Amino acid sequence: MRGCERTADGVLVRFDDPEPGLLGDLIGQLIALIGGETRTVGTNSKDPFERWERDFSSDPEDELFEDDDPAVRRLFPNAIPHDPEKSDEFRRFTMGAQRDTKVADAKIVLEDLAGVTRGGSCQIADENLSAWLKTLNALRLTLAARQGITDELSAQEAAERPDHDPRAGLFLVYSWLGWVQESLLEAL
Amino acid sequence: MTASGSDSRGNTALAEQLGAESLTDAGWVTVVWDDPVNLMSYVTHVFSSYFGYHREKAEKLMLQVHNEGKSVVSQGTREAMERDVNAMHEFGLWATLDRAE
Repeated sequence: MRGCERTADGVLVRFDDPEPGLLGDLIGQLIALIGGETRTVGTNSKDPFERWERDFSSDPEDELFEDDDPAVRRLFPNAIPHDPEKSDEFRRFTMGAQRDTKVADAKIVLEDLAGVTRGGSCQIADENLSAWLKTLNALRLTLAARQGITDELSAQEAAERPDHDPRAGLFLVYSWLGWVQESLLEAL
Repeated sequence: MTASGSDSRGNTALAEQLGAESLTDAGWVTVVWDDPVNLMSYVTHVFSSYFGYHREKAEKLMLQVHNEGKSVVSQGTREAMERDVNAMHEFGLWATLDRAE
């Protein structure tokens, strides 16, 4: 990426060649992880009762809030750690909308990426910037979980892995996403 | 003619039904916890854009999260704090709901 600059109605990002494709692939994986593609039938419904039915009728054991994937647990954190019953209740009421919002944000970024010019320029409108920042952040949280980053020490370890460790590649992508996010924030 | 509010038991039952206590009890807080992933500039952006805090206040809260491990970022009714915690989760921040100390 060669940087971001403020335009009249948004931010222009100048990507290098393989970057838009890489970002699109990562976002596709994020949507699959959150469960966006398997749940699109009810997601498109405007009828709140249908959405509630969807959220309540499924078996909690199959739901993300019982998930043992650390990335999913970090994307949908425990809101009331000292009260598991209340925490489950909170999650039950917010999970469906949280998932739908994250998927909707990710799809906004995919649409903007579809408009990248041959020279690598991507115009992001002001109203889409929040979706970009949130999606980049969700990707960083997911990649951090995949590298076992949970605190300052494990973050340092992740940064120092030798090149032959497959997780070293993840760290490069993770750092790059941070740079894109930081550049966007500076251009706001 | 019946004076409204003369039946205290009825009023108590109604208050419970409406959750009146939870609507007026502002003794709840939203706590944001430190994590090694979120950028300091992003956390400041979230505090100023979502809560409408001035840049100095947003930065002060961000630094408190970073240096002390956590910070109370808002206080209010349980319903309001559930909204705030939910919003922080949308941004990807690690937030919890708690009683004010």
